[in-house]
Amino acid sequence: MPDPSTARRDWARHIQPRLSPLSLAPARESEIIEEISHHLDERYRELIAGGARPDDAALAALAEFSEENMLAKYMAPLRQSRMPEPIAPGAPARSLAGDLWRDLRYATRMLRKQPGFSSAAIVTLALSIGALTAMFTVVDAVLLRSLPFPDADRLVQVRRTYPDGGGDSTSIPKFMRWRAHGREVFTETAAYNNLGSGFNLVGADGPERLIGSRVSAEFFDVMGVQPFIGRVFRAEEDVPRGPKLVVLSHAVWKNRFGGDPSLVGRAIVLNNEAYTVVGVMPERFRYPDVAELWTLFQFDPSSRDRAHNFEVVARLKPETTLAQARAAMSVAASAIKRDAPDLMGGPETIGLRPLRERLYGDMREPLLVLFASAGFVLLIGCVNVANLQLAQAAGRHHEIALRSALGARTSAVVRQLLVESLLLAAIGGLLGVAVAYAGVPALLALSPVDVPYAERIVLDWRVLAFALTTSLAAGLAFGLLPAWQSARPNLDDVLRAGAHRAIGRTNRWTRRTLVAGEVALALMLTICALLLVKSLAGLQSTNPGFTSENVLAMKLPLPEARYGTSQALAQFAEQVEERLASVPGVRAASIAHTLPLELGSDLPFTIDGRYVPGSETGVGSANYRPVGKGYFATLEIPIRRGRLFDARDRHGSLPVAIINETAARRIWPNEDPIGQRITVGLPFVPDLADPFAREIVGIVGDVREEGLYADPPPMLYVPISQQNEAYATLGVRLLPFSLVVRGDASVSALTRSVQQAVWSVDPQQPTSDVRLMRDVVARSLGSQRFNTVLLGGLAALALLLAAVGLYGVIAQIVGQQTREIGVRMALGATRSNVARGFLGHALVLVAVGIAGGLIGAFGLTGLLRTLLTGISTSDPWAFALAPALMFVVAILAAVRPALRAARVDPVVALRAE
Amino acid sequence: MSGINARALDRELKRGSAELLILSLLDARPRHGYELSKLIHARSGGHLRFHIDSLYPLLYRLEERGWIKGVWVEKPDERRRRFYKVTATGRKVLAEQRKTWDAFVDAVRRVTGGEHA
Repeated sequence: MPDPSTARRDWARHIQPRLSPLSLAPARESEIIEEISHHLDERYRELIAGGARPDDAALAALAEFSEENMLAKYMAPLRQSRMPEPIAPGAPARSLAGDLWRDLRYATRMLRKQPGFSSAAIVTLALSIGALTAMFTVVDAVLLRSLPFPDADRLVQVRRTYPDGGGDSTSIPKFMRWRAHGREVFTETAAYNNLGSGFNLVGADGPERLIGSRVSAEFFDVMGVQPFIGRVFRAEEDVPRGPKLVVLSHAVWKNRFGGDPSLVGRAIVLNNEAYTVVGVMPERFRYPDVAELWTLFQFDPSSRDRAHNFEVVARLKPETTLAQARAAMSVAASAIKRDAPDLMGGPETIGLRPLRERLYGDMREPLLVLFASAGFVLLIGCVNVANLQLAQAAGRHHEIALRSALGARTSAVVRQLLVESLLLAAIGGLLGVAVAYAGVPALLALSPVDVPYAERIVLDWRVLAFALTTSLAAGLAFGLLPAWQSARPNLDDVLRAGAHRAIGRTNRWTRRTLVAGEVALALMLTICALLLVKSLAGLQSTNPGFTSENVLAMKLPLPEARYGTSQALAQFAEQVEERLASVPGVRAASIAHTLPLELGSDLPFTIDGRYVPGSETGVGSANYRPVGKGYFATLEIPIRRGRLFDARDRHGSLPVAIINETAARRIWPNEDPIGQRITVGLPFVPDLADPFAREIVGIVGDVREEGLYADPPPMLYVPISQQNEAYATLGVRLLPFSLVVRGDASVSALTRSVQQAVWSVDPQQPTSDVRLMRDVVARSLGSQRFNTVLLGGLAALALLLAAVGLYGVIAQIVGQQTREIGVRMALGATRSNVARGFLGHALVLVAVGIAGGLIGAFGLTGLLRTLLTGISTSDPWAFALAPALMFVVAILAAVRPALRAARVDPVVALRAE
Repeated sequence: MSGINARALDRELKRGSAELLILSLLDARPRHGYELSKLIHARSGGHLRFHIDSLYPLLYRLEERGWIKGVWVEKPDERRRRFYKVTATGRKVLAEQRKTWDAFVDAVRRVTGGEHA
């Protein structure tokens, strides 16, 4: 007989019934039973030690309980007595909502149980959804949402159109006719100066330069905007020599005039003339987006001025469609050609396009390419997560088979797995929105061009809806395949054999196919990125035709009232150049109307002795640029033949001109242009034409005026001191002049001394917009650089994801084949045999992916055509380097699992199973 | 049965003085349930007696509140036993309750003892 003092009695049958009314978790219940059993043991032992007989001792020990139901009563209020209902995934359904809730809780538990898998999947999704969402934010604001004007979708740009393109700007006579013909389809048609011109506002804090847009009286009606205070312009004020009136932007009114409502009706001084403020625009209105104030054009309706220097916007009538308006304006174009063949001739016609295209048309292609690339990355991300899930599904086969065996329906198992995927996608999407939130400002900061209305590019509900939809779609995309595959395991196989061998060939093949696909997608993006890189590199090594190092440029907005005559302009230019020449640190300096890489205007000219009136014979055309004497020296533009401008070329002396090599080649193909005489402005722009002929005295080197990616245009340089009256007036009115200075001093010192020199000539003359020519050249490649950096980043992300996918697959195969490796090694395979085998395996996968990717890339790169300069879309360098890069990445990704395979110890591997 | 009857003890449980009792005993060192029950019985001179039904739910409640913490201690060939110790939170509560209790006892003494003075 056992010693009763040490014997353990079975108290459980006395304790358990007292606990049964409570719904304790089974584990907890047995703990309590154990604890109380110990209590009873102690008491029992004490009683035995006191001499009691075992049965009596047992009874006495049980008297430690008071009443039958007391334990349950005292326990009932405790938390542990309220056990949650057990989660049994795949159990027969009761209600869909309840099921989903249960699935969700189970999914959360599963994800938390596998932190490695979960975090890899979530990071992948967050990055790829974030990139796509950031791109969508820009695409939405720029390409999808309507502009910030009332009924903005009815605003159209009216423009000149030719079979091979078009021109945004137009002339006064054309505008007058377009407006008259447009009454049928437009409620209003308005002219406005899109670039704006400088207005010097003289105030207490010195002169300040504001950008103003000249507009016709209908402008604000077309835009559909009401003034914040005051009124807008009236038609009767928009006449030659009409009253000087101005409408201010809200910002100027607030910042410069303290938001004083009594300003309306008072006069302010702009460019030395008094303008009466008639109104202030509301805060949100800004168009053109540079405008800080608006004044009237006050066109002469009888003007014959053919210069194209403003743009036209119109509002479609409510019942008119764009197609109808296009048809009507095409008819109008024919009528104008009939009435005024000298005004509009040849293939020119009138085109309409939505105002949005005018503003964002250039951004469309690159944005769509980048958006599509981000979509690719997300696709790769989805493939990766699907792959991770398949790998992980292998480990869960047992669990799923068990559930199926216990009666879970396939649909319930699929639903459970899908809920897990969607949960992953939702978390990834949420973090993706955070990534986009941080990324969009960075994207805009990196953006080279000032995006009009950039403040509209924000994460709003549309973007959130997009991110949500994308995440759900992604969740379904990467969840369906693994769910479908896992949900139909062969129960027998799985339950009988170990999980590994039952993973099935299907799963393994699916994973390999996915990885090959991933490699293909990544390769396509890499090729695109390399094409952009090569294109950019080519552009960067392009010689612009001038030296930009150590050259400072700034704007000089000259007021029309003081410098609107040729003599005043010539005198100012000469004095400024003279003063600058004596500034220490300045090696060369010049004034110029426009600078390389800026917009300039083309002017026609006739060649004396060759021009046949009424024909195109003897007519040339070139970019017209008034410059100072030091212009070529400052920018180090080489002289090829003849001479540069010098002290002889003054106001009133023999008028001269210099052309560039392109102009010489195109216009005088078989002759010597030096000594030839031309009349600038004739025959098409008589209002601006020179009333004299100019002699060509020199030929200078070509400059890539329109960007490094464009061929140099023909140029016609004339001395600033030898401009005709009409051009002097219009030139000053239209565009600010520029100063260029080559010097050794620091930028700030140079800026200060240049400003002093200008002020010593005219103390009221501000300078603005100081910049280094080097930066101007660099910025001219901004779009290319932006596209390259962004696409390069996306391609790098794609490569990384593909590498992770490859690593995962090879690692899984190694894991599954440990036993096989052991067998092979036992049979004499060396470690390097094994490692090479797996590496070879990876490379075969990659080679398949690369083959697919190359085929895809040939189709895809065609979309890049407009973004590339100087290289073909099937550039062999990119198509060769990208696969090489891919192989390197693949080897890096596969080398670790392959080495792990080589380190398998055959003894351990064979004993393991 | 002498001393405080079951119903009275029930009231004490609700009032919280039993909690003070347990916390004070555990403050000295960790103890298991049976030891607690014996100590209370002995130190109260046989006046106080906890039944299993009230002692363990009380311990579990204190544990759920985070005032005490139970740990299993195993010894070879013996049933494992659960020892309880006071947590930092429990120690703070104990200090609070001791102050209140002292104040109460003091007040009662002054009222009831006043007639003898």
